[in-house]
Amino acid sequence: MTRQREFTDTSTMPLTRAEKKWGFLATFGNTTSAAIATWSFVAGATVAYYLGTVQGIITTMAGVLIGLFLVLLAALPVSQRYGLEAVRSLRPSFGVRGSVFGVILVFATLIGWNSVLAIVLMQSASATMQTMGVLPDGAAQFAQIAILVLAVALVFVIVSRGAGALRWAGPVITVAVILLGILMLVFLLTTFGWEAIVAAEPLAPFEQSHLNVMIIVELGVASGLSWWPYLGSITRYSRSVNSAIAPSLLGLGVIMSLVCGLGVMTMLMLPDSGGNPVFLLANTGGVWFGLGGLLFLFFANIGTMMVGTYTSVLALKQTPGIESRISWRGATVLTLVPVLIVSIFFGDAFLASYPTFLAFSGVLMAPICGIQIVDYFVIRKQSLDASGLYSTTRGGSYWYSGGFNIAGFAAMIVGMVVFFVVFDPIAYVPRDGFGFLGASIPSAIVSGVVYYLAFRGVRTRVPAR
Amino acid sequence: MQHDDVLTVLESDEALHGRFTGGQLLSLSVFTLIIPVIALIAVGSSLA
Repeated sequence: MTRQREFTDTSTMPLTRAEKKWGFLATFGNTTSAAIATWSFVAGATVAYYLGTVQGIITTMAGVLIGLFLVLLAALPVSQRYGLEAVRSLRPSFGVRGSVFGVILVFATLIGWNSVLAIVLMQSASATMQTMGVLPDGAAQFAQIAILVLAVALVFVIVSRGAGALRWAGPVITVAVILLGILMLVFLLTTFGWEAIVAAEPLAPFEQSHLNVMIIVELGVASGLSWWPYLGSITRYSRSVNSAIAPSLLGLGVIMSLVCGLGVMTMLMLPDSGGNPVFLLANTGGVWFGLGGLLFLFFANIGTMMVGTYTSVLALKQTPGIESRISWRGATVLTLVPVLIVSIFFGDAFLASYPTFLAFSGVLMAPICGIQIVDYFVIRKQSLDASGLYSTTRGGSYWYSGGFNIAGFAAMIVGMVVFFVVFDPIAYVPRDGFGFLGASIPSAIVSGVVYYLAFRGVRTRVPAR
Repeated sequence: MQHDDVLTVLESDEALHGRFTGGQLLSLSVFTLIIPVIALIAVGSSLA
């Protein structure tokens, strides 16, 4: 690896046109490897409570795509035009110091997601190996830790090399995961039959049918919004907006929803399975299907951890004072150590927090998207001050008051309040008004409007680029 | 390339990609808003 290429692959600076080399395959490979993980099965299991197979898959996909509309509009144009990742792109709307909130948000969220993935991987893989009879009784705990360490070591090896390694690793993982997903679909269809799968009734639906649809739309929108931190990191290397949109929609929207569909089918047929077809494969499919399931667990979760870790390293390196003091490898270690600690010592408790994590993605990401869209398109007219984005001193274009853009934080708070007014994300209970547009969409719209009014109220002139 | 060089290059219009166009917004809206909403209406009708 040449010095120049190493700088580009691990750089946190904006990328020039010559440095943007990812085409369809690299972007699709990384969006898909990020999107597919065992959380798709957990989401599918949730869908099965409210809707049947066909309606569930269509509704989930529609919700995810609507969420992606907001995320793509908020993150893609700015990351593409200026080669920025998520945290740096927050500076115009939250201020130089205020954008540190983005570092905390992205770092904490992605470490949380990576921990969930690591825990699911080590527990599911160990249980699958026991089911297959290749793991002796009493060795489960040792096997779990060995699997965890192996997964984290693999992620470290890939991510410590920077974006260049993701460029080839993403597509390889994607091909493997798609083929193994098809294997699972074939197994489900041959085991239960398509007619039985589509005839299965949802497990615990609301009496009002539109609420069942809206709650899954909301789940899908929240899933789509949860890609906000990932999207800027992945697409900043894409050659153009056009070459980033299609692979992002396919990977983060369509493929993810289809894998979620495997979870819906499994949960409807086997309500005690938690939506995970891997155990079924290991139990009744014999060694080869069981091995296929195990490989799926490895590829899917490691692929998502890989992109998540890369994104959090990039976010961490945006913190003023940290970038020059810590190397890319050092930041990678700093990102992965908490995942090891959480997975080994707090595994079960942390795993139980998955639905809350997902719900808070909607609570936090919806207002951020609404604010970013209004800021970039309406207020800045798609033109940012590149120097201001990297200035950390008073007087820069995005310094505002003491380094904070009060309008951004005010809009964020109002958007979160709107979300909580129509939906309880912890108990997953809809409130009055939820049935019309869900919670994330009104939250994003209100945040955008409040941001515009507050920004215009505080500032009358946008700094020239 | 050093950081200052990157900023210098970025600040020249040649280095910037074009703006997000109305056509791109339209195609994004079709695939992520219009088609999904039509699909949701169809699902809602089938359940009613």
